Amino acid sequence: MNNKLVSSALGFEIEVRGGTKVNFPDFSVLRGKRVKHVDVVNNSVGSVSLTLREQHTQQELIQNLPLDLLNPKSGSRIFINKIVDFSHSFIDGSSMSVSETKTFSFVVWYDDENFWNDIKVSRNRTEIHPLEIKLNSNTTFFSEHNTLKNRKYQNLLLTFPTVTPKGNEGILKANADSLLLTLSHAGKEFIKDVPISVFYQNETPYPLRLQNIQIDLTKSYIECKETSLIGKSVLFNCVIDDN
Amino acid sequence: MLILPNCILFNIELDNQNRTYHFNDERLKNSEIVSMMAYSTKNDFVASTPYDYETNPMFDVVAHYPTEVSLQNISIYAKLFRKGVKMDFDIDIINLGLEQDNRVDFLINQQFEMDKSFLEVKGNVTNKLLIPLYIFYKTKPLNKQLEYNAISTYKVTRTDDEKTLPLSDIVGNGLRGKAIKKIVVSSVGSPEQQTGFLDIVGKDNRRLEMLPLSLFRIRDTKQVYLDPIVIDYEQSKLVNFKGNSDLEITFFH
Repeated sequence: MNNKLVSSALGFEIEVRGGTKVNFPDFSVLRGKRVKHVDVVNNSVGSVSLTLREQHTQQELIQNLPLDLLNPKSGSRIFINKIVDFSHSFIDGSSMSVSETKTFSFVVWYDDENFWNDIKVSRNRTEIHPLEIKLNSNTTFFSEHNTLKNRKYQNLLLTFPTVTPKGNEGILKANADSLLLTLSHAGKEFIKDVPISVFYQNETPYPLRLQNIQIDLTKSYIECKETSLIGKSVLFNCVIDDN
Repeated sequence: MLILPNCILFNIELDNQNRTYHFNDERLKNSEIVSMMAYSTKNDFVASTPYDYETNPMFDVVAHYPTEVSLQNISIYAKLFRKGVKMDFDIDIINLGLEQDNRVDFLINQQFEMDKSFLEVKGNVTNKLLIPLYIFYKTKPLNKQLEYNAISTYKVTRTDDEKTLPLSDIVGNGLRGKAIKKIVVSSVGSPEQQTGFLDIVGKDNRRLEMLPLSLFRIRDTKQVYLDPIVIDYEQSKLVNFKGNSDLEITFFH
């Protein structure tokens, strides 16, 4: 199985000018963390590639990996399985036209033992419940949800209903990249700034596998870059461990 | 990985007067629901149904629900009940496409009070809807011995007109008595559009009712197995097969 269990994620954007190589920032939250997958959310990435330097060996163990292999819809959710020295890792835009500038949207999925929980596979039982968030400002915090409180999540399946369970207007698929999800637990934002489009998994051969993560809903939120979306609702179908 | 024990196909009709559909079926009483799947398409293809609703003029819409959902401003939710718990989800997450397996694999593996459980449409239904919905259920633990010893492939010649034929016409006597653990369908030559259904009846009276061929297309990340079943090939059928290239059906046993 290519898609591995994940417990934490960081989303970010990097701007690349044609003909250049751009190093990643030194993300403190990713230091010492084992990276499971890297997703590139952009639909069209051209022939840009990624090189990752492994922290311990200081070797570029992943070299010139085409970004289109990292798109969860068309790629294969490659298992990275390395502690990465991000500040010495880079995106190579040398094959882009020098007049071109492109912004790439990444999500790094990584392990954090503070946020994962064991999954008992013997019965393989799950429940599924809707989590609807009506966008009320540029930052919308979730409401408490009795059914979902203190539960363990194995997936969040985003759908785009025209009418949500509460009768609200849903967002469109085209809007999903402009909404960023942050999930909190125990005072930490362990899934941070992730475009919600990665949670739409109907077209993904390798869906997400969240490792029974727990979420403090009232401290979790969606950031909205387009004010026209305020008043519309986001719907996640939450897959919950019931073993 | 989805293992299919038994399957019922519900052809669900919804309109503005009938906005809910309850899963009243004796077979689901005291059974555990393994998974569910809707069969519809999001593109320009029309998904034919195994039962000929197209000939019935009362249906303006035939089983291509998401496209019509967006046209009609509706959404459809499944609500499943058991003691103290209501499960609730947008059926788009269990929708199987035509061309490839877009289904999200999720296992329910729970008993529900299915007579209280239902499908509900939200919004204004301008055309009558028909939604083929499959419920996979089990009455005993699954046999997880899925290793196979042999593989047999049979070819069905392409046809422009829908045709239905018993599986015994396709496989002859070669698989009699064998416990089938997996079926894969593929195209000979170009991967052109093929539609049709497999209606599988077991010698033990199990039934996998009218499963769309697209469920059996090769998709290495979303494997579909059968709870090993000795098929009654006279009773089982390839239904409404239509395609512009030959079809290969491979049985793993």
